[in-house]
Amino acid sequence: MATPTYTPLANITLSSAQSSVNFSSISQAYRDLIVVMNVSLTSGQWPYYRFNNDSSTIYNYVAAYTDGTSRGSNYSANDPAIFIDLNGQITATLETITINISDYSATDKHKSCLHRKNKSDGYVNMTGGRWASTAAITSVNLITTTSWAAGSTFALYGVVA
Amino acid sequence: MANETMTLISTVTVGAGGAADITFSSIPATYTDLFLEISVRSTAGDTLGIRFNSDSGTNYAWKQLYANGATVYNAVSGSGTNTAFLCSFTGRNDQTSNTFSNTTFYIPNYLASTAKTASIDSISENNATTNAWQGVAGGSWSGTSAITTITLFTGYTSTTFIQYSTVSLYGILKGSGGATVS
Repeated sequence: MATPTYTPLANITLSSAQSSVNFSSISQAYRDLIVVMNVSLTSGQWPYYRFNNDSSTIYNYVAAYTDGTSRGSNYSANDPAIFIDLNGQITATLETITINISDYSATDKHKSCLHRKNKSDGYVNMTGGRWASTAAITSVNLITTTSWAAGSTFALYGVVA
Repeated sequence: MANETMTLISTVTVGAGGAADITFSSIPATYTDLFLEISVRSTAGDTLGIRFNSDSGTNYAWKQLYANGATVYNAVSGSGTNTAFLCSFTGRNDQTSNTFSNTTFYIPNYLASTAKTASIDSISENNATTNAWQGVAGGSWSGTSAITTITLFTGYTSTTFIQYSTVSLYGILKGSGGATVS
């Protein structure tokens, strides 16, 4: 029997705009989580994500980015969320975002994540982040200050060890 | 029982004669996303080209951030569009022996009737102080047809993939228990 790899846990397709999308009650049976987003926004903004709806200032992240003509890096500490890209807005153009979350169910370590944002008419970004909590991740919250556009898709996969 | 996904669709390994291109055709329409694992080396040059559905029109756009350990660069598809994705690397046959590049190429919603986006990570590390590249890129193809063919080629004229270059195509299937939120 083939060994399961990416196990699909949930998927959401928006038939109308939504300000946030949440994966909740996440099974604790896997080692890592992967979120795959194919999204656009109703108007340009800087979305962010949290774990377990935690809005306390315990998110830290470092990013490298380019818009094709310039490049840079930035670091944020003690933030209330991890911003997907502080330099390039997500707009009405479709783009792919992936978030890898390691050891999400562990209770003896902070949670690290790596996300990639790919916008061929905007910014390409890679970000490594840390949620300074030893709590197991039971929900992933993908939040905008405008709305994820209708047609946006969100998929959550579990990866076994 | 857990639903298994990330299913291997096909693997191509280049034989002794080399190959001008590597093509996956008649890609089944039974998955949600596609994922390529690419390990290639070319006779010359270090640029990997990728096209969908044999489309060689100026329908590809990409932006790339890459570095060689000493310098960071950024690149953008010419005039905003190009005739292929040219934003990842091959190993080169004039570099350290037995070194092949490593590229992952993720295509969500490949069956959608909208433009297709891609997330690309690529490394060509060959134990050298130069020409050892790593980069990330984001791309889009403006075609609104389902992707049925993917073609990989070396980005330089009259060059080929050498023996043992290997590309695997996987299909990733989203769960059936998802929700459509309205």
